[in-house]
Amino acid sequence: MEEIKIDQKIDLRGVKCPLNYVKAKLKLEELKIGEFLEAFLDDGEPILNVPRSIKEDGHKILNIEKVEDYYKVIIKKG
Amino acid sequence: MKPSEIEDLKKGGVVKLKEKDMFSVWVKAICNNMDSLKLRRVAEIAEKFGRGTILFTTRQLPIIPFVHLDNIGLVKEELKKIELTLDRCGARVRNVDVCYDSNICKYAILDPISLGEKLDYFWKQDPGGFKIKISIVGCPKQCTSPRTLGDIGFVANQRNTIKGYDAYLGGKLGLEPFIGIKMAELLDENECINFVKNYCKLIKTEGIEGERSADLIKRVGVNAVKKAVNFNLKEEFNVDNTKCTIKTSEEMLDTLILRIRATNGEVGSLQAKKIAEVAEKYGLGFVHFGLRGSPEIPGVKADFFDAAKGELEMSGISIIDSGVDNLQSCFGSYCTNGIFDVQKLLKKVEKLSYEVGLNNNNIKISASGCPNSCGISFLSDIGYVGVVDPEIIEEKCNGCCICVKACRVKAINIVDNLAKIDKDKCKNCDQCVKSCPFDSIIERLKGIAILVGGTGPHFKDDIDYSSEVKLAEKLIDFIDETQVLRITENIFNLIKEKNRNVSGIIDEIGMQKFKEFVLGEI
Repeated sequence: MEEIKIDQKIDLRGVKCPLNYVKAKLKLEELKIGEFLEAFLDDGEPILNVPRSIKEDGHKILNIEKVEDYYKVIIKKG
Repeated sequence: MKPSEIEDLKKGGVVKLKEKDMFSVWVKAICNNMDSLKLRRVAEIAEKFGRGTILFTTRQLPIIPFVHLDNIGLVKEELKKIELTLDRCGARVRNVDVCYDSNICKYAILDPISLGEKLDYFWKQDPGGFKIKISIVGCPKQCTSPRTLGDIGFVANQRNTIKGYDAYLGGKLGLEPFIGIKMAELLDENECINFVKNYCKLIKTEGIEGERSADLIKRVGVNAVKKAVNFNLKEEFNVDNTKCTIKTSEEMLDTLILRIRATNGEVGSLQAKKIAEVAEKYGLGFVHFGLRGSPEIPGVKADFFDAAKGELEMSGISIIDSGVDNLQSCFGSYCTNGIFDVQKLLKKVEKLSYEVGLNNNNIKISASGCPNSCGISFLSDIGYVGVVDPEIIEEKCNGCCICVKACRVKAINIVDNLAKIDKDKCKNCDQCVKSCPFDSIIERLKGIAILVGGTGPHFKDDIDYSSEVKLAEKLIDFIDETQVLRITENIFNLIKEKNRNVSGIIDEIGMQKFKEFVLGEI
């Protein structure tokens, strides 16, 4: 896997759909192409919907890791 | 986009579409009615912030598609000016669906609008957490299909001299359709309110996340649910009444309901304005939104029928008095879940119905872009559903479990850190493919399935009418559009020859013979 240096982080725990996606999207707009965003997402609907929508917007999901009761998702801006 | 605007998204009523940054905005219509003034305004909003189209689905309210993310707040402000709010989507109490009262519809035993206004209380009070659809009908013809489309369904009925609502729980379509089970009989309005209150309390205390009433019944059993929802139904329970924008008068006897043809539930904003105008001029000044995606103008005096029809036709709007019933669909190609171009297919099917000369308003045709069944194929004579056969690319799978969660029928397991699909359980809905963040699930096969013989809501005096709901059966799957049209033409010819609905034909000649006749050589 390529070397990953996290450029920005966003904690979306407790934020419901589709607001969590919109917040992640706005955060990604602050990044330059090729930079990395780490997002924390709740289990359930958020972890299902948000990575999918982000992928559909042309970004790349590099890793998804379960931490306690939430997920750490690493996104590369496309 | 301001933080205050994105906060609005929290409350629901806004659904992301396939196209980047595009959303659909769902406008609440109390008791599925909207007065002409408001409908006209909604049409103007669709012109200004959308693409001049309004969509009508089984949710029976206007949906404005193609609103850019940045404009959602503005649309909401515009709606607020005319005292309209957004409806809800997702895991929430949904807008209550009703048909007509006895002043407008000759079949109505009770006044479902009166009950609908009262049950709106649960929409207003809902903190979210569970999807609860409530559907009410005024007679056993079940035009809103409460037994399949309502987690809670009320069907007005009469036995001897007693009138009341039979209460059902469990209705849903989707991947695992379920026909509602009768939980109580001949309830009055106050008992219905308590019934809903009891159900909401039950699902919120006993329900597992995402559970619908059908799931709850399957998990804890009919008797346990029945006992809980029937608790203390006589208790006095006052709800603050929402007022539906409907005007009633005794003049409405011997009037007609004009059902507008809106293939795929699509109505242009100019046409919506015309419909609103005709409703003002010849009807009761409001428009009702029917289950099959067609707006309806109630209360048109028979003497005015020709004038109303003529005015609509001048604007390119036809009423459903020839051909098949309204061709109904989901969001189809606009939806993030859509597997094939639903709108395009249904337009071709409609054209075919005219070419074959099929002239039977009772024949119902629906299409759903995926097996989630937002298009009510299960309740139609002929239904089309997009299907996908998924396959895992093992080299790409990292065992993250997202597909396991995305799969609603638990057909995926992780074995040795790799996803495995149980094809016997798979419902071909494509969610695993779409959810995989690493593109490690591909569409091995993609196509259309045809369902036949469903019977659901009845709008007319159908010769094969039965108050029983029957779900359509799968005829064939994974075929392409050309094959779909060829088989559809065969079915149309058979319907024309036998002059009855598909369910009736299958009863008459048997499924085997039906298949042989319509499939021919594939």
